[in-house]
Amino acid sequence: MMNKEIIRSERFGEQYSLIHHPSGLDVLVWKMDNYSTTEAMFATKYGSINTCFKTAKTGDFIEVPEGIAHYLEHKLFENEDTDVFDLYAATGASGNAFTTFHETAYTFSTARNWDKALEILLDFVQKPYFTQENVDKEQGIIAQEIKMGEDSPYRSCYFNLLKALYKEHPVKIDIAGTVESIAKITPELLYDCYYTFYNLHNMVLSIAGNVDEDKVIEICDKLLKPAEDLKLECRFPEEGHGVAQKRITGKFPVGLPLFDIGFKSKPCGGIELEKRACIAKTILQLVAGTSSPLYQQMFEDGLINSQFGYSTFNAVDSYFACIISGESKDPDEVYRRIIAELDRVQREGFDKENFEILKKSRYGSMVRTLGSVEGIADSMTESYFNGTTVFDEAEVLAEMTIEDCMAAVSELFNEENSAISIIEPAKE
Amino acid sequence: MAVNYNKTEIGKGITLTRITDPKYKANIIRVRFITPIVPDDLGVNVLLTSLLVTSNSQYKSRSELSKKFLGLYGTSIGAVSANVSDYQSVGMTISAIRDRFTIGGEVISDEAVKQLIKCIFEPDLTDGKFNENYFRLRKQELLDNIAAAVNDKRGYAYMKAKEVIYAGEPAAVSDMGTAERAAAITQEDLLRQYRFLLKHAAIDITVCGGGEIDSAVKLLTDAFAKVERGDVPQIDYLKASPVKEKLCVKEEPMNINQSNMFMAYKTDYPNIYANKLMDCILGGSAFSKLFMNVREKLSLCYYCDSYFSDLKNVMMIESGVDTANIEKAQQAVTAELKAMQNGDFTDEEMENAKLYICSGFMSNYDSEWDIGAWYRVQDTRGTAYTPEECCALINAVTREQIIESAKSMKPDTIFILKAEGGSDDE
Repeated sequence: MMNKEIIRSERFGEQYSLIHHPSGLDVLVWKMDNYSTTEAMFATKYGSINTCFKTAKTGDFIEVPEGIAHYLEHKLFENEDTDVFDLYAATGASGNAFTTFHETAYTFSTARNWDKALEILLDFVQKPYFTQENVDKEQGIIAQEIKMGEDSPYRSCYFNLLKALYKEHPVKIDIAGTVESIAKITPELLYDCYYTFYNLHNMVLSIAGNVDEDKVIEICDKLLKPAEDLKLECRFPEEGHGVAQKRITGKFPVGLPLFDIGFKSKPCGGIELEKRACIAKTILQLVAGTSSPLYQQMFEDGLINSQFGYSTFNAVDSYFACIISGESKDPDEVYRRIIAELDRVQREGFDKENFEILKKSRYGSMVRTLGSVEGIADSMTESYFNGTTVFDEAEVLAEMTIEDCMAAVSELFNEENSAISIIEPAKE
Repeated sequence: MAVNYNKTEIGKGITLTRITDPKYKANIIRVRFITPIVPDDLGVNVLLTSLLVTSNSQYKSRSELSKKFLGLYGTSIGAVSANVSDYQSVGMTISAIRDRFTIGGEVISDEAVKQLIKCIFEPDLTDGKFNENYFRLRKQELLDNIAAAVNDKRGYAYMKAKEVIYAGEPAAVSDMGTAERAAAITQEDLLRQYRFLLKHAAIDITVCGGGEIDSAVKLLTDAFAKVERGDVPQIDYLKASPVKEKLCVKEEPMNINQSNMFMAYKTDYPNIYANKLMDCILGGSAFSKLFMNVREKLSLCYYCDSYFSDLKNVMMIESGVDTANIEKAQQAVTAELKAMQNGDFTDEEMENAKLYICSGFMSNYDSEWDIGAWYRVQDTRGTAYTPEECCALINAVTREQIIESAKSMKPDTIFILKAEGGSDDE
């Protein structure tokens, strides 16, 4: 039995549909009038961190090699008789895929034949084909990808930070795994992971832009294979207070030293995650944004440059961290000043005027996202996996007070839960 | 699908381009100063624009100006700088949400444009000098950015490859110039170049977005009408790069894990749409011969793509490859180009490439940034085709023209950033 919800925002005058398809898949459709492009994302709540899990069929928890979610993503592009890119080629669509710590998504973007491209997407993601031969062949390509990643000082700096921040959580492991861990991957393991995580109850289809909802449902009816809910459970080790390492360094042929400074805190989900992410982003802007006194002082002292920035890093009920990044001749001094500024604002409070300005700025940023086909498809998927809607962020932002931010500083930016990763210039 | 497009000359060598479609939620204003590349001026122009976008006579620090723009619903302001063919294009861009999307219909667009105009015409100068501290810091940042080019290995390899591919041409130099020149930039250089750009650069102002732009256009037109203009060069972006008499092979060793290889081919074949289609079938898509055969079947590279520059008539093939496989990868790439020259591609491959390119063209309608970029590219070719018109030109390309294009590609340069060892973590 199909059942549909309309998710509407009076504030923005926009809406999209959430359709609970009888196959077990939830389908999100946002029609954008006068747009040429259609952007689709067929995603599973399965990323590199999901290495320990159980279902109604496995009985006890099982563990699989690191990097297997990413490996699986690569292999799904190969059908028994043809390559998926060849199929897309006949439609004009540009297909792609990515794996993160917490999800794997298969996407296409096209201004032609979106319905045919959607048929290809739904078909190939539901049709795994793994053999010893094609699994062996992929190891060469993925090993090349891992090596390419190892040549990026920015990537190394970031992944080193996660290694330093997290003592136990698998988020400390590179998404692609290692050349050694991917060597343990077999067709059987790939099938086990596929049938566990690519169950339609664990997935979502988001489609935005030039699209017809009835046609989407018709294609879903034709191609989705009803799935039994396997009652999937993933297990993550208890992370606890404190970090694995306060300071971690690496060496690369770089100009200036690079740094990432992280503060981990407890994970959460649903609307609580939306609120916490909103508060964390606002604190980051107030403390380290371009309009903050700290930014101005560090810039004037020649400690930071335009590469300085910040972000939040989180997945529902799994991990949450605030990260500040940049280039500096003295990253340790940057870290020291950030800690000192956090200490100061806890004593003296935030600037009220700056707080109101930043709220307006964030509102403007949300308006922009609603004009981007790709941005909407992304937001629908992300909010769905977080247990929220695309519009919740605006409501949370409207209700957020400066007191909410003040109350959260000590928990979100606890020095004991922080670490710094530095990439120093290697001598040639 | 269509947007309203209009380009007019509003002063000597000053063009105003208006692109609107009511579906866009924001408006972008971009002001570019275009001059022939002068190696000594590259860094000066970059430093100058970085100072202009971070302060003006009213808001004298980055933080103050930033706070002003954040209060205008996060209006962004940024410097733009790029070498396009043998020209340098520098300037600034602002992007503001439309007034109709602010809370309560607050009008922000006029103030955003006024601040942009202040940044251009009323910089924070005292006795002809920028704030000495900011000058010193931004200059150091320019030096840092030049040094940081090495951090992105693919970007660095591309920069070094260009030096060889375009040896002896203005396009050979990097966008920011050299560290030696950057270190020697003075306040006097900046003021001289500021005056020079206002007087002698070709200036393009583009207002692109959802509409309600009349007021912005008037403010900009009035501001630029007051500028005293001198001689302005005629800009002709089409500067075909001459093919070298003998294939040039260069390597640079680096302590990395994976080698980056650029193979450059040059052509005098005049049909750019045939060249683009040939490039797409060969290496410009995920179903191309290079991707399917060199990467997927032979597992020789993690990436192996091609790109065609219609302004320089150069096709570049870029790959990430294990050092031990460099020769094999070169042979595999050469074999795929040979296949194109022999007509070894199906009608289906050709039709698929046409569909793929045209789908990409049409997608430009969906973002004010993309449609703005679309018409900037048109401008470099001296055309103003819509995406539909370019699709028609692509669809008219024949198999014979693709083969002729492939046959016209002459090997010119191979540049390899060669991996020697890897990184160390502690």
